[in-house]
Amino acid sequence: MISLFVLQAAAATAMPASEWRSRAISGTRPVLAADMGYVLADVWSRAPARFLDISSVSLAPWSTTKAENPLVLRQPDWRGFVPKHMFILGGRSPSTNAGSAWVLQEVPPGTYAYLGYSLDYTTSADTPRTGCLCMGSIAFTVRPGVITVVGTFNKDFVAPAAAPVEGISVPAGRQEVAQFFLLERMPNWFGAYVDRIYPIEGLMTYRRDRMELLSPAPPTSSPAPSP
Amino acid sequence: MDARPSRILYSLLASAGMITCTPLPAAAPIDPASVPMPELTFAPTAASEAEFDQYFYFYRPETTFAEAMTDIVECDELSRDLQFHPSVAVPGEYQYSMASVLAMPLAGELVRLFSEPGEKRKLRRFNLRHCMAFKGYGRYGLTRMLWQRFNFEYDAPIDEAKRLALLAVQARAASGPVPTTPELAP
Repeated sequence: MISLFVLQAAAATAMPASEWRSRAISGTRPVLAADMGYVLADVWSRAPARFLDISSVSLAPWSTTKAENPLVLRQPDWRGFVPKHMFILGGRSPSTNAGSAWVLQEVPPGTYAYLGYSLDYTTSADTPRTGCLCMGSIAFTVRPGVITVVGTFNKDFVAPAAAPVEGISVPAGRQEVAQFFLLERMPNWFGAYVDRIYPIEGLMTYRRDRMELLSPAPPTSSPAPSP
Repeated sequence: MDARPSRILYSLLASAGMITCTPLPAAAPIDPASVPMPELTFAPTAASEAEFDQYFYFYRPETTFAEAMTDIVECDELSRDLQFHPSVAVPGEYQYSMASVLAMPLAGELVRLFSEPGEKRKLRRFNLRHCMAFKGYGRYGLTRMLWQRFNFEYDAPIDEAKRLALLAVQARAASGPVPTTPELAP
């Protein structure tokens, strides 16, 4: 059977646990390892998302320096929530963008923060050259052993999944909707340009630099009888 | 079943809780009266207007000094320890040749040698402008001479105390009187 998934094996060789790379997998009934997470996302098909453990990322090109402890920061109180895992989009030039597709990727379980997108096709997974959505982003939790659907992640908008996706080769019954978090602030880990995601329609908006959850529409009730 | 995604997602988010950032640790509060108000008036010329993308200050109405200081320190924090990645690619059929494999890192280091300081100063301005615009501040032009008195470039050799003192002057301007010059694009 022809799979709907785009195949892009990021790494064929076995790597140490601290230097794993995400692996795109295919098939209607993928074999799920109990200790790995599986992310189903609608992303650029030619550039699957990269899922990084930032403690293993080198901080500068041509350098072997690693972030020794990502939780040691200059002003730890200000940084707030510091995710250990990062989620990066892009890595291909827009001219080769062949549209988006649902891609299933095998990643270590954890909470992933959407760090940013990259249009730099020379980007390697080791030195993420991407903007930082430091002033407004979203994170999701990936549980082990299940397929977590996270929704559409694009350069221009984020549409978190609200329900399992129908009409793709992973049956809706095998998907589990991710748990989402809004991130008002993130550290500018890689010294990149600062940005934030667009407001999410019906869910989140900004008041100046603060994120605000939009309350759902109140239930329509019959008008009170006039006295 | 209500199929509108926002309602489902809202319930998910409400159960998960929103992660909010904690405010800046309360450093020693600065008395705004002790911070000098910088000189901001000048006669604009064509030459100074051409440099407004480099030399500017921020202002937001109805803002206290403490609020402005918090915001400016936060934006300054996001504009530190920046990185510059020269991406030099050999195009075309030589991309995967041994010559390009040898040449690309060397060319990248050459680019870094010449343009790293300028690119980092540019990136700092970019981050400050974005960050302060998100916070609702307007941007107003200055001459280079006036700007240099209470601002600093990315690679300025200043210590933390001096940096904080300059940021305080910037916060004084941001919470000070209404600028007389027109607001610039963010």
